Amino acid sequence: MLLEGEQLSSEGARHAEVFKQLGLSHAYAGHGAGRDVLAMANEALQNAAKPGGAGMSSIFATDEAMLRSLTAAQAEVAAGKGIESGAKTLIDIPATPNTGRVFIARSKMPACVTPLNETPLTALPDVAEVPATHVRALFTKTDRGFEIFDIFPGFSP
Amino acid sequence: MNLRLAYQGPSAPATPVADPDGAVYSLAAAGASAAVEFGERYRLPLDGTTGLAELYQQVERLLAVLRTGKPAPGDDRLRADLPDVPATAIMHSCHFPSYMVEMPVIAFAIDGPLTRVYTRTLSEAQGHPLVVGEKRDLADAVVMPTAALLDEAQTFIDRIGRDAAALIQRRRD
Repeated sequence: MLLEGEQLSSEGARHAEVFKQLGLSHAYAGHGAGRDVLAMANEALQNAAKPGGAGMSSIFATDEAMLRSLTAAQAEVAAGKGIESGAKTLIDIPATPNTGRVFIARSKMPACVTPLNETPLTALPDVAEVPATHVRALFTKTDRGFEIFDIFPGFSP
Repeated sequence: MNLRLAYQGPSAPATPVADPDGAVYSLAAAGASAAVEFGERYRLPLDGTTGLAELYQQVERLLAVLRTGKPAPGDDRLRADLPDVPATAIMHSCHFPSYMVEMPVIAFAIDGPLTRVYTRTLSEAQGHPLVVGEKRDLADAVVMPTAALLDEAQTFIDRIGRDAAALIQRRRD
């Protein structure tokens, strides 16, 4: 990641500070490009075990994809679009190429879906990969305006 | 039956960090997790990398509403989607995006000494209506003393806060 021409290591404190200033600490911890892919895919299995869990997990391909998606989602929410649920507003925007990866527990794979890859990770044979169809953002309405709560690549059959 | 905010500390040594926000994620990375529970009838696990933090952040917001009586902007909109909400109640809600789809929602109607707690799901159907998720939610609200809710929320924050403070102290040492 470049900030004013300076390369920031994805492991570095300044990199984390940039995402914190953008309100993206939570999203970056959960879906940031710097996450370990195996750990990320394993969360699909964890999710599948939860009551009502869809068995999905996802990761942005790059920092740039996350920031671009945030900008697009902010424009939508500023335009009054999205679904309001209490203090939260949910925005789904179409994914562009190379947005990110979506993993799904094979036990939760809808019958009508052909995965991108049946077994993207040999260490996790029970996890498949499906295409990112959209990016979902959840904003919190505050006295200062809308603040990003979470943003991640998603999949809809 | 009251709402319980269960917290399970890390199962492995957590990485020391410099700030409280980072400490919650570090605890989660070391296996700490949480759950929202109503006895045996409802259990919402919040684990993985962000589940604990998203509950922690929202319980802090809930505490602020309970203490000040000032609702968060927009939360009053929930009134139309929930049954039997007293006209005098203050609304509040927590959403859990770590589920990614069919997000769990817990809504509170805080009416003086009593609070009605609703467990709901943000459906994936057109317009994302708030529904009673058949695999997860309780159809009826649970009524509990507001003082007990405040006490449970503060205890949850304090328990995580102690573990977080220990991580920050280890970093300083």
